[in-house]
Amino acid sequence: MDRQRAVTFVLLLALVAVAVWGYDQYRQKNDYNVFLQNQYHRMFYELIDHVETIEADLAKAMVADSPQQNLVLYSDVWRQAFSAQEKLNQLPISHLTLSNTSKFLTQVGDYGFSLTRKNADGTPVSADDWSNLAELHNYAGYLAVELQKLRSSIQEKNISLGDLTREGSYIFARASDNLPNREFTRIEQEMVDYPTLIYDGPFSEHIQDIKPKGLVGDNIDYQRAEQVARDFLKGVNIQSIKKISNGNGDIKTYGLEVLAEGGNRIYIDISRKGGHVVWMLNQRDVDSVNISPTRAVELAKKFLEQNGYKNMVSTYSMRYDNVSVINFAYSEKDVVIYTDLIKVKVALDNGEIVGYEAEGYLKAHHRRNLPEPKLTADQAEERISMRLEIGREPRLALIPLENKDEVLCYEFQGTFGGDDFLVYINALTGKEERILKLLRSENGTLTI
Amino acid sequence: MKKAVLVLMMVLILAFAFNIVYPLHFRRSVETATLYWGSTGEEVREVQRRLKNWGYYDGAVDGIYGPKTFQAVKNFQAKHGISTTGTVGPQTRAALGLPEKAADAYTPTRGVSSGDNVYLMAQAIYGEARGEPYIGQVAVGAVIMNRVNHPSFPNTIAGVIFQPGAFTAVMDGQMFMQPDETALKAARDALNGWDPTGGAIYYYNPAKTTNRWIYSRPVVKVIGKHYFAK
Repeated sequence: MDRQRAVTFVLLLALVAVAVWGYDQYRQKNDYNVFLQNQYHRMFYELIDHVETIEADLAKAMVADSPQQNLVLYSDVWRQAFSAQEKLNQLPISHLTLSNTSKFLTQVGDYGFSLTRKNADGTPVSADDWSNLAELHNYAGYLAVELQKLRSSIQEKNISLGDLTREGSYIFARASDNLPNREFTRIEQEMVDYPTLIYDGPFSEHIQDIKPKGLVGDNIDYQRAEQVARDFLKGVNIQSIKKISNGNGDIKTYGLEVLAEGGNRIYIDISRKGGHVVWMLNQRDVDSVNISPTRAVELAKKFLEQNGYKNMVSTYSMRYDNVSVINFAYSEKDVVIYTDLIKVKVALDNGEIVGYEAEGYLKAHHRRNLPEPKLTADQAEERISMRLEIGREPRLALIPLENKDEVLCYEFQGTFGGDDFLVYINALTGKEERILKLLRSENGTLTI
Repeated sequence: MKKAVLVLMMVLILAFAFNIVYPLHFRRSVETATLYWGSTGEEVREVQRRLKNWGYYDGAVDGIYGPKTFQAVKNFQAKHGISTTGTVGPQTRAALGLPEKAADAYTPTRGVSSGDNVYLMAQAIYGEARGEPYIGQVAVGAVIMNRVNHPSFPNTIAGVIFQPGAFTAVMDGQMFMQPDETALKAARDALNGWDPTGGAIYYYNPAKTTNRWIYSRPVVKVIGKHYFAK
């Protein structure tokens, strides 16, 4: 009898413990739920504020007539659009549903940025710009009204997280259908800069369809592609080679997998048009360092020459995992063409080429009529801040701008307070086109 | 009691002295020298450069404050209502738009690094594609980079990775595992611009996905189990 009572007691105790634990879990879950809901609502409310401000700014921009006012308005549109896009993409709604709204906000921001630029250059706003501004204003208004509808329905129904997702998805899907699905300006301003090799990185090439200018030659068949791969991988003991994929991106390719001696795999993509190697990656781990970075640059340059890329000059390089990635730019008549880039990865144990990437070159390279500089190097130097202590002799370079235009510039290297910079002065107009900061480390030099 | 008053007084005196000395010291560090006939150097060169650009000076931009520079400065001062001393003091300096020396108060940049996003991206790659061939892992990283650059997606690497609902491994917390060496290597290659996909912004595993919309996107590459689409 006593035993039974004891068991009952223990069970009761356990039940109470579970109940306490369960209640605590329930409370915690509620706390997190409310916390998350508050975060999401904050994002949503701020999004409405930003979109409303954009509409108001664009309205004011229609009537503003002084460069000072315009500068404030355009740059505010740019800033608000960026913030709005950031908030939008944090909402718990499928990114597929949001993508068109997100794109619209990016375009508004880009437009604000390009008008800020134009304004600073003293370029007058064109008739096209006016009609675009008006159109963007109308869309911003439409979006603001839709968002307000969602807000009032949230407020009326005392909506919870799931409802925000559900009702939001519905509103944004409708908004997406009604927002413009066209390009306004294509510019490549970076809201956040990431350090990269000079003029390189994922930002060097525009993601939207551009016709690759560097692809010359006839279409090749798979047999020929395999031969190209074999020639390119001279020195590799190839066991087998097979096609693993077809590339249907901007550059149509044959994707090959090469099995090398020792089970090592090499991946290589060869363009269908012209049979150029687009990129190559060798998976091999590099365990030791036997050659110097200078030697690596020599080997990479020799490799490029062997593959028909003459006139390539090495710019900067970086080192990681016992490999050296060296960036090469095309050079013509002593002008460095920074748009035509090829990267070569050299293994520092035996100097083997273990990576190659020529997408930048294949997309941008074409025969150019380089203009004659109208300014001398000395005249260009006069445009540079006296705070910058100028280092080596300037050289001519062709650099890409945000809008994909290419401009001929003098490239000055200089220092200020222990920091290194590259300053680009337009060789035709004297305009200060771009400033890059060099980041030097024992692993190489990057720019930002 | 007396001791307390003494201490208080000392504190006050110290504070007072600091208040006087500190701004003086601070001001001195940004103070700049007056330039006059016979001065040489980079600043003189800058004065000559500016005066020449504006048509006051027709001599050589040689950094030597000679008679021609002297005359040019006087003309410039006359034109701008500054007393024509022929020396470049604070007033003339301001009218010329010469910058004050700022280099003394400047610390070389130290906060910018390139390694910040490697680990984060490696985590995403490891969570999403750890069973895939190496090239498939680079491809997942490339999709993240392509999204950063695409107008329909967030503008930062973290923004893309943490976008609600964008990546399964982020949603279920799998990405917070320790990435292996291969994933780290793949992340570096993707960050350095290797894009095996040719510009894809979506990928899916046809054996697993239930989303019908995704099938409408043009597939640009198939690597391992993943279909990469635009």
